[in-house]
Amino acid sequence: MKKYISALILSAQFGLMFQTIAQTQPQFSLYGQIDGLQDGVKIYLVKDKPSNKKLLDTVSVATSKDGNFYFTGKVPDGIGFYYLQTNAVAAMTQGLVLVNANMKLSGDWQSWPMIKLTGSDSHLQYLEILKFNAEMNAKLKTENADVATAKSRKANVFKSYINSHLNSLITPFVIDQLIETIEMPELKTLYDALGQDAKNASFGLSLDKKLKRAEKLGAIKVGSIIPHFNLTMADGTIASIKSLAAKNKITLIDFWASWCKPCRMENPNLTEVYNAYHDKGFGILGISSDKKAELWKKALAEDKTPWLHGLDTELAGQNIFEIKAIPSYMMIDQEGKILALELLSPIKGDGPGLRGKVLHETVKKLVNL
Amino acid sequence: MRKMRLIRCLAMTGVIILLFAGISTKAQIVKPASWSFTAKKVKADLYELHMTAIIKDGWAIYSQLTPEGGPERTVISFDKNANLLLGGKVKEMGTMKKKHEEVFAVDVHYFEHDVSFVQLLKIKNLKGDRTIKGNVNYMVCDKSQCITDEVPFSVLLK
Repeated sequence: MKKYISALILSAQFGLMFQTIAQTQPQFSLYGQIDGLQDGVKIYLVKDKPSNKKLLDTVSVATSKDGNFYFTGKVPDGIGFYYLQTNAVAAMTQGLVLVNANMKLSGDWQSWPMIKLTGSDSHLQYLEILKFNAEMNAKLKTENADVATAKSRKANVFKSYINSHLNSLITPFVIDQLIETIEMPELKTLYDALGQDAKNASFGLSLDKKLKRAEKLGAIKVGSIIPHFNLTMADGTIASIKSLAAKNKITLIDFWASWCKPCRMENPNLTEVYNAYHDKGFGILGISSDKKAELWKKALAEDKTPWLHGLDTELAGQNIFEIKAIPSYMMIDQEGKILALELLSPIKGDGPGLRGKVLHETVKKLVNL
Repeated sequence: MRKMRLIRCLAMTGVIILLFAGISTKAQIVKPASWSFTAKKVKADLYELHMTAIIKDGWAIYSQLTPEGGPERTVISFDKNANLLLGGKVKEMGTMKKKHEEVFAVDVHYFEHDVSFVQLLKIKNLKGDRTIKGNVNYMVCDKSQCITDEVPFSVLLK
């Protein structure tokens, strides 16, 4: 009996301890107080999926009572865009920037979803940014500024905002918005200057990922060495891109697939160039993105192209070069140095042309160098 | 004290406001097909999910009926939701064209301009989870290139 009691006390103490630990974890509470909101209205708290801005994930559902509703939980990585949706009225389009804090929503059901959020400094900063943006847009419009001017003036306004809010969790989001507008070294400088908390919160983490990707893609350019990957050849052997490049003085890489008509329609032109310059050191390497090896082999048997063929079993086309459309082409030399790029990908096309009739001229020049 | 700020919203689902929308000048990858997903109520517990592609002139996407060996078919997959029943296969609403392609030696079934893929859905428990999620994997080609793409969707049946 005594043992039993002490066990109880112990578990009660443990229970208390766990509760204390749970309370120190960063959490948010979101308390809604909406005049005129009827009882029993289901309110969905939804969150942007960082990977796809069009997709929303329902995080939690609350049911209204006496004009109130209540959400609690954790904002992953400290900050995020959320929306409230109901089945009855218009959905919210402008995000609520939630953080792990006690926050309050207030307003009137008549004017829903126009409501006020307090308790999140990041949300107020977001509204401030949007106001800046709207004012700037209006000003540029009345001044009839051209695109280049508008772009650089807006970029300057936001750069000064970034530099005066280096510790705000929302600031990496502002830098993110500049990705399409300013160049890589400057973006990197802006990111590097951020405070540690801003870097570690969700917008900072996703910005870091984007910048790293941009750096990786930026390194693939004319004059640099092609990144390493392997292909599965028709006989089942695995070959590295370097070993395949070494077979000829210059190699045209043709990203294609059996199901791609425009790719296969290009074969007569490729064959012509191949036959004219193969003796002088010109090779072609077909890299197929076919998922089914038998369809790839069937197409090889039908087309009977005389050059090298590999199946992209490591998904290099997708993961390294981020190819969005095929056919895509690149030219490399014996050492794997990139001579020309014509990829339908975020990687900039560079060097002499590789498509259609232009290919003849390019190959003629390169084999004679 | 801060003045009360009101958030003005449009009648659409959430989109983050883009500060540089419309004035970015860096090259964009072409997007020949754009997808939208809507739920149409048939009965209280019966809905049609319309997955609609609007396709730019000169481009085509491919029917689920395209034989193997030709262009990649459109494939629609749904995430498991124990509260929803799929009623039959995905129907295709649009003007399907057929063309024999020498290069593939098959009859290619394709759509131009627009097509809706329609799935009937039955809700088991009206108070349960009414969100249908999934992916569309499709290919879109014109005369000079082919693009494969995946579009995730998440639609509340309401």
